[in-house]
Amino acid sequence: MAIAGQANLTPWTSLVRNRHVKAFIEVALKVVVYALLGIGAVLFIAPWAWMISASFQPLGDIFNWPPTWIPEHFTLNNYTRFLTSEGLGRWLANSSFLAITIMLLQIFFNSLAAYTFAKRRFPGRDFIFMLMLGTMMIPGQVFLIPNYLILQHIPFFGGNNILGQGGHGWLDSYWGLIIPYSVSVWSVFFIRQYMKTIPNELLDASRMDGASEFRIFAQVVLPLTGPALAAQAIFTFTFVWNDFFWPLIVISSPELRTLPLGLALFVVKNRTVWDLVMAGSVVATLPVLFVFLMFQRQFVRGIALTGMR
Amino acid sequence: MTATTEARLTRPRMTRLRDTLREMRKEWTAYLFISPSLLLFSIFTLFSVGFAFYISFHKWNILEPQKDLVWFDNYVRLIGDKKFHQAVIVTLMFTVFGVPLTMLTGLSIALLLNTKIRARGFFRTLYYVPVITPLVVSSIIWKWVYQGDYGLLNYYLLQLGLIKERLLWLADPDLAMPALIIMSIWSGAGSQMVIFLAGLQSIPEEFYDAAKVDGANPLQRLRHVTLPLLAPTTFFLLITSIIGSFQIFTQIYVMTSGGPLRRTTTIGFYLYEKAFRHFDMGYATAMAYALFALIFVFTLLQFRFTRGDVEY
Amino acid sequence: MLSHRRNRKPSALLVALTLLVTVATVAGCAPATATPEVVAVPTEAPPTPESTVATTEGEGAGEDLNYSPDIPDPEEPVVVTFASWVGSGEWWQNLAEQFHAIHPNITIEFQDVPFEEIRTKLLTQVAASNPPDVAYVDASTTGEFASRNALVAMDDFIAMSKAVNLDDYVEAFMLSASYEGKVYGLPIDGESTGLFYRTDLFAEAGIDGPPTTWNELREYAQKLTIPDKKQYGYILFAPEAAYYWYPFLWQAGGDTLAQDGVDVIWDSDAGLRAGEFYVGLREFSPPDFLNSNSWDGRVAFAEGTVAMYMAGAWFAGVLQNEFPDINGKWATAPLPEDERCATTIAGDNLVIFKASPHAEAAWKWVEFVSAPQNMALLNLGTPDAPTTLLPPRTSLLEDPATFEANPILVGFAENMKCAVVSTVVQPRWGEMEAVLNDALARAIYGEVDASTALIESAQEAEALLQE
Repeated sequence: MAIAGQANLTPWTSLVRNRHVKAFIEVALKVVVYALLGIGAVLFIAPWAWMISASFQPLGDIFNWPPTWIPEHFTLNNYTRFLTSEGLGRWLANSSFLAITIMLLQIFFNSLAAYTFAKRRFPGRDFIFMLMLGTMMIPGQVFLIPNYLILQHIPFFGGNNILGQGGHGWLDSYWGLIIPYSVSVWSVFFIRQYMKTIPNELLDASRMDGASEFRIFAQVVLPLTGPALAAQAIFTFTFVWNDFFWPLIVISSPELRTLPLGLALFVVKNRTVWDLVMAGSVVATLPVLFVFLMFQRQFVRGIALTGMR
Repeated sequence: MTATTEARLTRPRMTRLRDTLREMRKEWTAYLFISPSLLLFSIFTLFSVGFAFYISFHKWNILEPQKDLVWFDNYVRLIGDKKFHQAVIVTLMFTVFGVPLTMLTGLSIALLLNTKIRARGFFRTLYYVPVITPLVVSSIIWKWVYQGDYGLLNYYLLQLGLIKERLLWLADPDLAMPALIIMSIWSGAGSQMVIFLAGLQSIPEEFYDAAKVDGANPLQRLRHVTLPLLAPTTFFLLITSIIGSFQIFTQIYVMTSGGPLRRTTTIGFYLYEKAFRHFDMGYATAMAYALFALIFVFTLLQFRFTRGDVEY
Repeated sequence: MLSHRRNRKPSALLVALTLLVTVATVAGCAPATATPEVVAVPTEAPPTPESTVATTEGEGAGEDLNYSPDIPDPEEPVVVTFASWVGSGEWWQNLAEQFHAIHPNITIEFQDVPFEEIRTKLLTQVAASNPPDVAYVDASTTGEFASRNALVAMDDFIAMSKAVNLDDYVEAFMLSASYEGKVYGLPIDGESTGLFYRTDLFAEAGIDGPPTTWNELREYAQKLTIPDKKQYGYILFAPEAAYYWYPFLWQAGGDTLAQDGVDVIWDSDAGLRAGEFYVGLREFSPPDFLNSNSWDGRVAFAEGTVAMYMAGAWFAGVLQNEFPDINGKWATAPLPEDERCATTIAGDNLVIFKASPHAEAAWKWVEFVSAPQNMALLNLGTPDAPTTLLPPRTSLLEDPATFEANPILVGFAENMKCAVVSTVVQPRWGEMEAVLNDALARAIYGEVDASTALIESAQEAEALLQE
C-alpha cells in the first residue's frame, strides 16, 4: 500500500522536513494530544471521582447542592461499616469465582468458534453464523422468562427427573450462573473479525507442514489474537462482575449472592443507605480496574506521531 | 463464481448432497470446534427465540398459564399503535445520531492513545472508567449535570457564553433525547476505544514503515493505512452498535422513565412497559419481533453496502 | 515476510489471577465478622425485652402462641419460602427462630430481593410455577396479582385466626388488599400522603400556617413563588402526574372509575374542576423538575427551591436521613380539603401464592408476623435510622409507644381517616392509568388544557377496553 508522489518539493515541505521544525512540531502535537486527552479524561472520570469523594462523606453531606468534591467532614466510617458487613467475604468470593471462570470459559469457547467461522470453510458456515448474529437482534427482555424455564427444567439437576420435572434444575446454583454465559455471540463475532486479519498464508503453510487443525488453532492463531482476547477478557470480566439482573432472578440462597446483589441489600424501599452504597461501589469497581490494567498492556504497541523515532 | 463452484452447481442434486456430506466429513474438526458454542446457543438462545415467537401469536398475562391464540392480532395492533410509531422514531433518532458519534469518539481516543505518548495506560484506564462505574452512580451525577438551575452543563455553557439562559435538558421534551445521547456516548466510548485499540494492534508496523518511506504524512497514513486495515473492526462495531442502539433500555429506565411526554420512550422501553407493567406478554414479544425485522433489514443493508468482510 | 507480534507468555496474568482467587477463597473462608450494630437494613429493631419474653413463653407454652389451633401443623418438616426486601435483617431472623420454636415442623427460608426488582422476579417465578410461598409486596402489586389469580384468598384463614382480627385493621388498608370482596393480602405496614412545607419560607412570606383549602393552597403557592430567587410554591412531576392528582380529584368529590369498572368518570364536572386546579399549579412549579419524580425532587425541597411538597410519610425519613441540615425548617400537615378531605395511602402486604404446596403452613407464618406484639416491633427502626412506616392496626395506632421513635408520624396516622381506596375491579387499570398520566403530563407541559386532556383521555381509556 505504498503512497506515490513524493516528488513535490515545495518550500513548505522542505520547511517541514527541516530537522528542528520537525522536532518542534512533534512537541507541539504532543502537547495538543495531552491537552485533548486530559480534558476528555476529566469529563469521563467525573462521576467516578464523585463516587469516591462521596464514599468518604457522611450521609447528610452526600447530597449537598452543588455537589461537594472535597469532603467537608471526611470519614472512614462508611468503609468500616461496609467492610464488616456480614456476607461481604462471600459476595466477593462468589463474584470472583464466577467472573474468572466465565472469563476463561468464554476465551476458550469463543476463540474456537471464532477461528472456525473466520478461517475454516465448511457447509453451513455462513448460515449458522447469520443465525447466531440474527439472535442478537432480539431484545433481551423477552428472553428472561424462557431462559428461566430452561434452567428450571434441566434434567437430572436440582432434583429433576430425566424429563426435567420435579425440582429446580439449575436455578439457585452456580451452574445456572455459569453455563448460560459460557458463550457469547457478540464475542465470537468480535474475535472472528480480528482473526480475519491473520494472513491465510500462515495457516496454509502450517497445514502443509502437516499440523492438525487444533495445533494450528492453538499454536499459530491464538498467539496472534492476543489483543482481541485481552479485550474480550476485559469485557467479560466487567460484565459478569457487574451483572445484577440475571443473578437476581436465578439466585435465592444467600450463599450464592454476588457483590451487586449484596450491595442491593442496602437499598430498601425509598431509603437507600447511600453512604454504604458509595463505599461499596468503590470497593466493587477496584477489581475490575485491576483486571483492566492487567489486560490493557496487550495494547502496547503504538506508533509515533510524525514518524520520528 | 469459480470453475469448480459452477461445475458443482450444475451437477444433479443427489451428487450435490453427497458432496456436501463428504465435505462435512472432511471438515469434521470445524464442527467439533463450534459444537460447544452451538450447543449452548441452541439450548438457551434458540429455544428462547422460538418460545418468544410462539408467544407473539398469543395473549398471555404471565401470571396465569392460559395463553389464548390470537393469530396475528398482536402484529396488526402494532401497525396502528401510535405509541409504537413514536417509539420507532425515537429509536431511529437515537441510533442515527448516537452510533456515529460514539464510534467517532471511541476511534479518536483510540488513535490518540495509540501514539507514543507517556502514561498511555493511565489514560486508557481513565477512559474505561465510565464502563465500570455503577449505573446508579452515573445516573445521579448525570441528572445533576443536566439540572436546569444548578447543573454543571448549564453553568459552563453560560460561562462560555454559548447559551443565553439555562436549558432544561431532561425536563424539556426536545432536549431530553440529545441529553441521553450525550450520556450514552460517555458511557459507550470506553468500550469502543478498547475494541479499536485491539484492532489497531493487528496492523503490522511494516505497513506504516512502507508508507513513511513513500513520504506519506500522518494524515495520509491514517487515511490509507490505518482506516482501511481497521475495516473489520469498524464493520463489527458498526453492526453491533446499531444492534445495541436499537435495543437501548437501561439509561432511559433510570434517567427519564421514557419521558418527558414519551419523547425518550424507545422500543426497548415500550416493550418492557407492555410486558412487565401491563402484563401483555404477547404484544411485547410481537414488538420484539417487529424490532428484530427492523434491525435485520438494517444489518442486511449494511452487509451489502460496506462489503466489510474483507479477506486477507 | 510479515511479522505479527508474538504474544508474551502471560505470567503477570497468571500471578494476578492466582492472587485474586487466593484472596477470594481466603475471604470466603474467613468467618463473617459479626456486626456490633445493625448495618444492612435500616428497618429493624434491637431485640426488645418483649420479644425475648415471647420466646421463653413460646418454648414453655406453645399453645398460647399457636394462633390458629384449628389448623393443624404439618406432620412432616416443611420449608416455607418468604420473599421480601427486609428479610436479611437480624430482627426477622430472630422472629423466624421464634416461630420455628413454636412450630417445629415449619422452617422459614428467606429469599431477599430488592424492592425495585421484586415484582419482576415474582412475575418470572409465577410464570414458571415456582413462586415463593409467602411474599412481602406493596399494595398495587397485590391487586395486580390477585386480579390474575395468582394469590390465595385469606378470608377463611382469617376467620379461624386468633391473631388477626379484621376489625382491628384500618379499613382503607384492608380494602386496598382486597379484590372482588375477598382479602388477598394481609397489610403489614402503611403510610398516608400529607403536605410537607418549609416553615422558614412560610415565615419569610408572612404565612402563618399550612393551607387548609384549595384557595389557600393556590394563594400561598403564589406568594411563595419568586422565580428570581429560584423559589417556587409547589412542585409538579409529570411522570407521576396522575398519582398526585388523585387526592384533588377525590377532594372535589370525583373519582376515576364508576363501580362497574368500565365507565371512566375522571372527566366529570368534579374531575374537570380538580384537573384545572391541579394543572393550574404549574405556574408555581419549578420548570426544571417537571420531568423529575417525587424522589429526585427531594433535592428541590431540601434546597428551598420549593416550599410545599405532597408526599407520603417516606419523605420524612428521606429528609431526616439525607438532609439533616434543614431539621427544624420543615413541618407536615394534612392535605387541604375541598368538598371533603381525601388522601392516598400506600402500604405493603403479606401474600400467599396459589401455587404454594403448603398454604396452611405459609398462613401460620403470615399470621405470626401480623400478631400485634410482633407487628409493633416490625417498623421501629433504629434511633439514627427512624422508620416512617406505620402498623395498619387501629389498636397500635392508638398506642403512643408507636410514635416514640418518630413523633412526626402522628399526623400521618390521623390522615388515614381520610384515606380513599378504590374497590373497583378492573384488571386493565394499569393501562388506563397510563393514558390518564400521559394526558395530565401533556396538560402540565402546556400542550393541551386540562379539561380537554381529561375528556380525551377518558374516551381513549374507554376505547382501550373495547380492544
